[in-house]
Amino acid sequence: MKTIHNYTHEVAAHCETGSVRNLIKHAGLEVTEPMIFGIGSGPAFYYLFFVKGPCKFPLIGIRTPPGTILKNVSKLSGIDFFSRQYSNTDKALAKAHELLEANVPVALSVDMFYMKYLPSFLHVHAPFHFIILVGVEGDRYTISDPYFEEIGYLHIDDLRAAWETHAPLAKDNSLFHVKNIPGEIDWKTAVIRGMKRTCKNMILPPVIKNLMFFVGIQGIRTYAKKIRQWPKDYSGVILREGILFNAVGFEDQGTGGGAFRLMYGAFLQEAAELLGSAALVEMADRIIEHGRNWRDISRMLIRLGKKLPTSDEEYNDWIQQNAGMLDDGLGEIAGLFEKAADVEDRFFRDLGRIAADLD
Amino acid sequence: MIITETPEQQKHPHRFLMWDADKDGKCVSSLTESEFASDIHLYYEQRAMEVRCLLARLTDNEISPVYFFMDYQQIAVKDLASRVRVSASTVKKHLTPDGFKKVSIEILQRYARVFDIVLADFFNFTFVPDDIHVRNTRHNNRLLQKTTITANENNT
Repeated sequence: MKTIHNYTHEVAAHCETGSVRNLIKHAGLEVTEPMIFGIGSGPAFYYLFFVKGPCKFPLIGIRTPPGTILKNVSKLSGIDFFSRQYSNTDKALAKAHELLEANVPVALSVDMFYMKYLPSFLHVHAPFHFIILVGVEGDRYTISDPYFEEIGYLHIDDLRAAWETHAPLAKDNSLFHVKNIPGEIDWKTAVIRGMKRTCKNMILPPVIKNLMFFVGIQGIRTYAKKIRQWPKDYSGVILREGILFNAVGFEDQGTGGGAFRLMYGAFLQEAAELLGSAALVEMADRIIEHGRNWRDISRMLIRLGKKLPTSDEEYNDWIQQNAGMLDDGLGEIAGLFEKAADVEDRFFRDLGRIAADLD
Repeated sequence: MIITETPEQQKHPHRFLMWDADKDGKCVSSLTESEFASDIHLYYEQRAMEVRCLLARLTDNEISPVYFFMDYQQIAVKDLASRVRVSASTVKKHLTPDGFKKVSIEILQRYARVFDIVLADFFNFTFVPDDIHVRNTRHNNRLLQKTTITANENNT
């Protein structure tokens, strides 16, 4: 049996930022999850029309690709992470055991479907979930999962299935841990550079944004356009589930609410204090208000989605009577997302200017 | 696969860490139940309905057991193919009842690993009334399963 001494398990809004934060805190450095999210340039928007999500609607990404936050935090803060992908689970497990023996908690990227300690509505095939191994006893592993209030336990068979999925883009058998924390970290520079990168990710140059119409602000606009087409593209339970899944994805799937925009507000408040910037205080207020508005749009989606029938058999009769109501409702929501795109366009341009001034 | 008489229910509330501004405008986090938690039973009822619909198609010989689990677990064909390490066209063949008959045990084991089931689950659906408790244990890399049936103490 091996369990990490003095490890404090803390929940988080998001699994990657939560795992990185928990590892850094265990290594002795106090840092908040919003700070990791901000320095890691977390906010993003991808309307991945070419990838079908679990609900058969196109996948939507509202933060940078998995692993990017870790990479950005490491680069900007100077915190040295050991990060490696092994060719098979035996090798990865051997390394994890070695680290646990040395009292080092180790983060893994796994498929959330096999995390049996989580309630079953969270058992979805998402092979980019971050957890921390903090102990092992025989075939049972002790897990610190930012989405779970208590310490969880996983059988080795479940861990193996979750860690080596062969799923597209999954980082099978990969792990990371804190190797070294520098004596001094230039948080101010890290914060400013993190903000600049976020703005760059959200506002693409004119020509690029036409080609990458599914990324950043342009991605939100494309998404808004597609919302109006949903009743033409989908029907029945698929349409109902898709509408609900989109809304839940913005709120309850590790975003902290308002598609991560509220957590970004917390980061900007912290950054404003660190840099003594009144301009950033105002920017924090703006993104918090925007995040709250985003939550309201999610609530509208939920209310609308719940009006659709729960079985395919009832759908044809229902849509004959309610097509106008559905079109109007989705049209209103699409309009709000178009406004949200305009708000973010102005916001990230202003933030970019402020960050440049602070640099 | 075990199908219970009463759809699964959320036994304990699950809380998420959410951020929002407090009365002073400071953005703070709190552990809260989802705003949509009161409707979680709808999710489980919907899932139970999906099982019934898929099972009807399975018994009507419209779809294969691989299709059943793929659809139920909402995995795309391409994703499943990658996970099972076969081509998408091979998976598509296995989605039909005739194609399913040609799947080797070794490939079936790979499917079972992805779906987190045992091989027997492809061929056996057990309907369990509320007063009965069924517990399965897996053996030999999902090839074998032991089933223990007892009276459900909560209902006796």
